Amino acid sequence: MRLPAWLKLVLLILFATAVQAVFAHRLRFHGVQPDFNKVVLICIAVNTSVHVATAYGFLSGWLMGSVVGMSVGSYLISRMMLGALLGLLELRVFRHNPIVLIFSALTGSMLCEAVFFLFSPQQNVGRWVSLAVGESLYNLVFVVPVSAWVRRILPPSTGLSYTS
Amino acid sequence: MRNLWRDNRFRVIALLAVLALFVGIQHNRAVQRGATNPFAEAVMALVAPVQSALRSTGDFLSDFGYGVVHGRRLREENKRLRQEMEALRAEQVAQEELRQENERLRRLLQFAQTKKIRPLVARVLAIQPSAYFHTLIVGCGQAEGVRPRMVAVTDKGLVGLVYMVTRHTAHVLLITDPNASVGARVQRAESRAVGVCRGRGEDYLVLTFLSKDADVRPGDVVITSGLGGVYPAGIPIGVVEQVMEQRQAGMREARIKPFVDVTRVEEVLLTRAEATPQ
Repeated sequence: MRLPAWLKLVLLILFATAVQAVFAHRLRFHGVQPDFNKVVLICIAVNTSVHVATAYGFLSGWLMGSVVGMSVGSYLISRMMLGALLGLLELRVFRHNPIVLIFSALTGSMLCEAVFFLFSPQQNVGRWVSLAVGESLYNLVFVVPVSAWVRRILPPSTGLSYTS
Repeated sequence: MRNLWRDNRFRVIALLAVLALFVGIQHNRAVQRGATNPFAEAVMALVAPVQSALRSTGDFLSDFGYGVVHGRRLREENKRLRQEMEALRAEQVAQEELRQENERLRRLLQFAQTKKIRPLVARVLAIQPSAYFHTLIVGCGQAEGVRPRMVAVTDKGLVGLVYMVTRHTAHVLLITDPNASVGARVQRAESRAVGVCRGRGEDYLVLTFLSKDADVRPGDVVITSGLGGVYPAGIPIGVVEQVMEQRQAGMREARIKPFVDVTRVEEVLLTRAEATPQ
């Protein structure tokens, strides 16, 4: 049985969320850990259109918020905005360039954290800044290989206007 | 269908935004009421089995990898441990007498304690999914008798407090989380100073609201005070590392190293505040 691409991506986000909950703390370095759920969302968002990316952002935020069990609304809004922003790049830049991908991942990840901070302010702002920047940089390690994997899942014929 | 989806892209986004607000508000209300959240329930029903499988696989690979890397050292350690075991066997006979006496006393103590207590042992499925929140997910939920505001402990000391429960999982807020605070007391008989232990999002806690003449010293053991009625009294929290003066507030603070390293916890015991430990 051949699974449709959208379902494979949903399963990939689900798997990334489970990996995040079980293994991310083992990769912790000076308090900073990667966010696999967000990495997968970034890789999906840069390869799809704005509304599809927003929908995956919704799913990503919902899963992450439910697993953390706190600030579900903040996770939903921040991840949806991340998806929408990266999805909008479809109309503006050639997203398949690895430099564009890395730059998008870095700025997108930091903007996502800023939106999250607006909705769920942290007591220690200095710690939040170091975690947000550290995590955004850490995520870059995984963005290129995961993006290559996501592009294998997405049908090649759909290219920039993939909408299913 | 595909065109409908594409042509209404901004309506789709607006709909998702409204849905996000609804889900967020619904979650907060459910957590405040201590009720089960159906949205989180659905997600955890999907994610928990994957987490459980990943955790088991990870533990197996970790043990296997350790064996491969440390094979020679393990053989030498094995030889040494066998020698130690022989010596300990003789000691064990003497210990057995003490154990039996202990067992009898424990049964008596349990009989004297309230019958309401039914501690649950829960396996840890996930640790700190987000760097901002210090939380655990355990593999016991409402179906197994877990309720919000149950206290999570290990044999070493306090771990945290259950704040959300689904059917077969529960979320525990660790004492190191910035949102966590525990009524605490210095165990030393000459001091018994009372304060509040607060998480800082780091691997240490801060004992605050100590009076300026509170007798607190590095090396003092800090336990739960039981004040507030959330945590039972007498559970070990950690040890004082450093005492700081807060001159502006006219108070003292102490930096506490928790007894429990939450990144290595595999099982926790969940109990209620009525359960007064030994």
